[in-house]
Amino acid sequence: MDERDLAQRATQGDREAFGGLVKLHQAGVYNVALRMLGECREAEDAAQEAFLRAYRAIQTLDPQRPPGPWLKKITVNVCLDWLGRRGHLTYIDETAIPGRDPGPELQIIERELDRQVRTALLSLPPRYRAAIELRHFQELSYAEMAETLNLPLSDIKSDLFRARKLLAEILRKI
Amino acid sequence: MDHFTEDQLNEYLDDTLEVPAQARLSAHLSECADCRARLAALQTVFEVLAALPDEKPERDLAPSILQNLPNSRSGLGWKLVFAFQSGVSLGLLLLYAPIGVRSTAGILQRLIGQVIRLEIRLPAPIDLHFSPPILLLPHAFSLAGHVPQIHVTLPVGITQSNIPIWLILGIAASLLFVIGNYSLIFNSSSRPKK
Repeated sequence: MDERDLAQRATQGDREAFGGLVKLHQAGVYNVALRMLGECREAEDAAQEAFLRAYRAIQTLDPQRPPGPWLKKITVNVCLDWLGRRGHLTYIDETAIPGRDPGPELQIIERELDRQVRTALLSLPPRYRAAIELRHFQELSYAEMAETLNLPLSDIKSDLFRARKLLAEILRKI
Repeated sequence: MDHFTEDQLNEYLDDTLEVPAQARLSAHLSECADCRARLAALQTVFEVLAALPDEKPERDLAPSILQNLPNSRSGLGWKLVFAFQSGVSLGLLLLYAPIGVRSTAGILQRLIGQVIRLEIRLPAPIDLHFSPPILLLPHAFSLAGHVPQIHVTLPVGITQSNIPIWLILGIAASLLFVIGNYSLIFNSSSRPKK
């Protein structure tokens, strides 16, 4: 059964089909949460909550479109809620990148750079993080971002451009 | 020549500038080292974000997610069923209401030591055994001076002595019915179990 069939059946209340979508998209959803939250366990919990929220809103899924972007948009909003509840504190988990065996020197340097980029992302205010996530990782247009976050287009552009400026300043110091 | 703004540089990289503006900026960049440097700094952000690899979750999340899925009664159809059930329950409550009024009046009478009695005068052709009393209230309710009274023909099985039991059972059953179905249909637990 392909993804479209799964989506079609899931919208008709088929739990098994929804389970198929979970298996297909859990890694993508988890990665959104990890970039937004920075901590593995919390990212897993947020991914779980995102899927539960998606299940409750399954009627809003258009089965003719790939469900991945729809799930990831829900995840961004779940993460923003989590960050709101958390009171804007940022956890920077040194073990946020799950263990891989240390390889050659170049690999270690690359991993260090990845860690620094993730840390830089986590230093941004939640709304800026969401803007970066939706534009750079989900590749949404400004209008789609505004719809996802329920914000005016001008706010979206302002958040995104400021987020990039902050990231550029942080990266310059790396 | 005027430099381009940060917003314009961002929109240039997002490819959302109008074609004439994009052409002007391209021409300007070939001449302006300052704008080229600002653009390069922004481009670095694009590049490092694009190069950030995805990570694998440490465990398979699917089993716990599937285990925590709410009952599948979430569609519009089930919500309509819930609305119907709520209507039926409300009807039951209204059915018992006049009897409750009488009991309450009695309790109040005992509590405050005043005579409070309500009277419902039923139109002759209507048989209370088959007509919910509440439906008769608008045209049957009247106050008899200072001594209002209720005269209700009780449904079969309900006697003067067991009214409170029927009342409590009826209201409790109705509320449990509605609350139980609410939790099934609108399962609103926001934090998943691990």
